[in-house]
This record gives sequence, C-alpha cells and structure tokens, in this order.
Amino acid sequence: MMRLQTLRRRDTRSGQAMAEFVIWVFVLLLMIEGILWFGKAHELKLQCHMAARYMATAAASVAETDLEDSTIQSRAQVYYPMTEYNPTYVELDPMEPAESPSGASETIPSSGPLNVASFLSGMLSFASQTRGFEVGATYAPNGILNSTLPGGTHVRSRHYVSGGTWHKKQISGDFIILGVKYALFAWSGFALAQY
Amino acid sequence: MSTDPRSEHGLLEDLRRRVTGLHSDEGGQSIVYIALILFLLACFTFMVLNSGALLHDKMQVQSAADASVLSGSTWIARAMNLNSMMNIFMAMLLAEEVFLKAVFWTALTALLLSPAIIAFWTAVAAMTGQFQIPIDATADSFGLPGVLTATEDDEDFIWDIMETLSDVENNVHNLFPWIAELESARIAMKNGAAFGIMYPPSIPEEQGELEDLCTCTMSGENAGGYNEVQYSVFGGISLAVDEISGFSYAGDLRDIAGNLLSAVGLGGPLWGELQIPYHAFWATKAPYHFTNIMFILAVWARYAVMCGGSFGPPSVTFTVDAPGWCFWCDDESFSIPNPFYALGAFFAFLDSGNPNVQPYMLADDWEDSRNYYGFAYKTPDDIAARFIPNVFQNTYGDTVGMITVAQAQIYSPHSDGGLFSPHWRTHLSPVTLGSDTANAAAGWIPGAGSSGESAPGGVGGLVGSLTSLGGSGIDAVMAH
Repeated sequence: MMRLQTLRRRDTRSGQAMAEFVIWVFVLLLMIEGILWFGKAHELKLQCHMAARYMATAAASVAETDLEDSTIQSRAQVYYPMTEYNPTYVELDPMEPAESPSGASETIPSSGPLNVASFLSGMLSFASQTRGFEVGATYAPNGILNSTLPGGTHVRSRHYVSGGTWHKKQISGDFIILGVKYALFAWSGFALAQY
Repeated sequence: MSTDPRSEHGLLEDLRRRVTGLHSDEGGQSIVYIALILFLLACFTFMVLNSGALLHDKMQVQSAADASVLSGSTWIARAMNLNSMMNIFMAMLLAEEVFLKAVFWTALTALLLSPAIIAFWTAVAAMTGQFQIPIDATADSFGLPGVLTATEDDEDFIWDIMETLSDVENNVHNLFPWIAELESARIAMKNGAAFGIMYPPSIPEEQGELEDLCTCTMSGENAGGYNEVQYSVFGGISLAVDEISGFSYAGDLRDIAGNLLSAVGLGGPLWGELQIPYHAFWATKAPYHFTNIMFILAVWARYAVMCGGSFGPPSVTFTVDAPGWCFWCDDESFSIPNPFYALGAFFAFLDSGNPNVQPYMLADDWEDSRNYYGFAYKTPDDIAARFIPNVFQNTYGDTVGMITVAQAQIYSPHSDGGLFSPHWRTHLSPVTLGSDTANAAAGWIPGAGSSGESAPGGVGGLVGSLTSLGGSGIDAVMAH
C-alpha cells in the first residue's frame, strides 16, 4: 500500500515538472523573442538613422563631391539595404519647422509674432543649403514565433545638415575673377579715353 | 505491539510521517520560482528597452552635435572663402591703383621734361634726317595736363571701392561667426537636441594692412593662391606689348618691361596684363619709348611706396635697332635715367595719405585655431531612457541632461595660398577637446557662472552642463 502511494506521488511530481517546463519554455521563448524583436527594431532604427545621416551629410556636401542625388541614394541603399523591410527614402523640406523637443519649445516661441526662430530658421535654411532626409522602414518579423508578435511597426529617422562652403568652384570663382578682370580692363579703357 | 492510531505511539508515528512528507512535498514551490524569475525577466526586458532608449538618446544627440558643428563651421569656411575672393579683387584694384598713379607720375615727369625731350628729338631728327617729330604732337605737350587731373579722380574711385570691400570683409569677419552660432543651434534642434552651440565663435583671421595685398599672385599653381596664368586674358604682358602697334622697339621694350617687372617681383600678369590699357594709351603719346619706360619705372617706384623695396635702378639701358642715326649710342645701346630713383621719396611723401584699407589675412597660428567644437544638449525630460546605469552615469546624476561634443576642422587643400585661396572647407574630425577649451567654452556662454546647477530649458541646461564640464573635468559630464 505504502509502495503504491509512493509511486503515485512520484507520477504526480513528474507531471508537474513537465507542466512547469512547458510554461517556462513558453515564457522564456516569449521573453527571448521579445528581446530579439526589440533588438531588431532598434537595429532597424539605427540603420534608418545612419542612412538618413549619410544622405543628409552627403547631399549637403555635393558642392565638394559633385555627387548626384541619385548616386547618394543608391549608395545609401547599398550601405544600409534593409531590403526586407521596404525602406523609404524621402527628402525633407528644410523650411519646415523642426520637430522640437520639449526643452526647445519651452524657451523659443514656435508661433505668433515672436516666432523669430522660425523666421531665422527659414532664412538660414534658404541660405545654408540645408538638406534633410527621412529614412523609414517597416518591421517584418521573421522569427520562429513571428505570427505571435506584432509586425508592421514603422520606424523612421530624420537628419538635417547644412553644407556648401562657397569655395571657388562652387561659386564659379574662376568666372567671377575673370569677370572682375575684364571689368577693370573695360573701366581702364573708359577712364583713359577721357584723358 | 499496538497499531491503534489513537494510541500514543500511533500518534507519534503519524506525526513523523507527516513531517517526513513535508520534506518531499514540492507543491506551491514553483509559484515562488515563477514570481522570482518573472520579476527578473521583467527587469531584463526593461533593461533591454532602456538600453535601446539610452543608446538611441546618445546616438541622436551625438548626431545632432556632429551636424551642428559641421553646419556651423561651414559658415566659418564660407566667411574665409568670401574674404579670399574679396582679397583677390582688392589686389586687382591695388594693381589698378598702382597703374593709375604710375600714369600720373609718368605724365608729370613727361610734362616737366617734355621741352627738353622735344628739343632733343628734334635735334636728332634734324641731324640724322632719319625720322620726323610730328609737329602737332608738341602743341599741347602730348595732352598730358588733362591726365594729371583725371587720374586723381579715378584714383579716388578705386580707393572708394577698396574701402567698401574692406568694410564688407570686416562685416563678414564679425557677423559670420554669429550666423554660424545660429546655424549650429538650429541644426542641433532640427536633429532632436534641445539646444546646441559651437565654440569658438571666431574665424582664424587677423586684420592686416594695405601692404598685405602685395603678396597676391606671387605663389602660382602649387601654392593654390591666386594664379594669374590661370586668368590670363591676353596671354601675358609680353604678348600684349607685342600687340601694341606703331612702335619699332616693341621687342626690346618687351624685354625691358619683363626684366624690370621680374626684378621687382611683379612678373605676374595681375601686374602685367592690367598694364595693357596703359601701354596702349601711352603708345598714342609721343615719344612712346620714353613714356613706356618711364611708366614701368613709375610702376616699380609706386609699388615700392605701397609695398616696400627699392625705387628701381638708377637708369635703364636698351638697344636700338636703327644703326646710323643714334650717333651717341655705344654699341647701339643707350641709357635712360630713372627719375624716380632720385625722386621716389618725394613721390612717396605726396602719396602718404593712403585710404583705410585693412584686408583680413590668415592668422599665423591658424592651425591652432582650426578646430571647432559643437555641443548638443538634451534635457532630462527629452531623454527617453528612464534609468541610466552607473557606468553611463556622470557625477551629477541626470540633473544636467545629456550632452555630447563633436569636432569639426576647417581646412584647405591649398592652405599655402592663405586668404587669397578660396578653397576653404570643413570636415568632422576626432574630438580633441581639452579642459582648457572646455573651460573657455563654458565661460564664453553668457550666464554661465560658477554654479554647476542646471536650469530649466535647453539653453539653461546647456549652460549648466557646460559649466560643469568646464569646472569639473570632461569625463564626469560626458560619461553618458
């Protein structure tokens, strides 16, 4: 009798361990997949950020590099492919107001007659040859539990840079210098003709 | 032996069995484990999310600092390129001014000496019968009196332009660093920072003197400065002088002109080609061979007044190619005395009132001042991470927000050309921020006192951060 009870008790413990194991595995897989999912989403965000950063910096430096915008975009797609996440590359309007963080919006008026910052920003955007790009990607989970986790999450990153140092080539300095020289010749002839 | 459970022995046996059973009973134990491990896993998950947010904050504000200093220093390079272009223009105008003054001096000299010159050449013509002096050429002393007044007016015009350009340079030098500051703050904010600044708000230029323009055109292609050959209009002074018709000594004059100008270091076409209208002008005045040599000597002397150096040789010798008529020539060559050799000091005295032209030149120690530091700041409210581990923490906790620094460096592939070379650019470079610079940056911001406490808002927080940065070492604040 005692032996039968002991055997039954052992059977009960075995079942309990199995049930606990299944729960644990499920919870652990969920956690691990969640960590992987957030990690992947963050990596995607990083890639978007780096792509936007590259595109804005390269586009703002066109005066120095002579790169076409299409070349810059194709390079960005090579450097940061993200092809399985349907990346989008959008040039931003630098005249648009910035997505100000809270600290900035507290101290600088963003509307009304005192919106000097917006006026200055627009003026500087025009003069500075500011280039801004937004690169976005839609997360498509492809893990072992992908059907249980949210997909379609869209991440994006924006970056703005001003460039173009008005160096001689950019401002057609050769023609300007020659123009001034011709103007001096012309003026000299005009002045001497009066002597 | 009784087995009655109600007996004392039976009760003890039952109790023993129950106590022994407790040792092997695992019921309810897993609840504790689950709670504990779920808590740990929740912590891990939070850490994953928090680390992601922390790294994103850091990445965003670092990118904001990079873009901020890159965009701000772009305006510094723009200022240097603008001033370089204007220095080139002013050097051209200085050449024009030298030539105008040389015309004046030559006209004055020719006017004073014209009776003797006309008498001399008339006698030569009468004795040799080789050529004739045009009678009408002597009637108004070659039209020289009018030249004297006209050149003065034209000089004033040139000086006015140069003074205007000098004022523009001054404004560029003083204004552009503040535009750069606005730009760096604007770009930092556009990229997600609460605020950003660039330090130092200055350009490595120093105000020079009129004489500093004299060095233009001397360097050539490799040095990257203004290269006259590149901008030749007529192929240089030699070809230009050949083009001037009506004078049989063109070849000889060309050599003399070239040698004279080379000797004084004015061989560049900036000084040479701009003479073409004046040579063409003097070619219509008799006697051309005299006035042209005088003109070149006057250029030399005038250049010496402006830029230093000697007033030229005592005399100039050249060979005539008309044997038979030059009876006083030794081996078909004769010398013309240089009047400015003796009178240069007098002419210099007359020209002592140069205008207030102070072009900006590249500072001698510009390489020590070529680095610009961009600081981007996120307020504690803007930081997405809710918990910052000690390894990321600074000694001020989170109260100062997050601040990062980036560095840009201005450069020119032709820096030897100084500010006559409009090729200045900027690029990001590794940060070499020292405590002295950090202190200077903290002290430069208005309102940054000795207190390291943060203030609300982007600017106030940045001031607090930089004050801490300057006062207590970089690592303490920059850790995260």
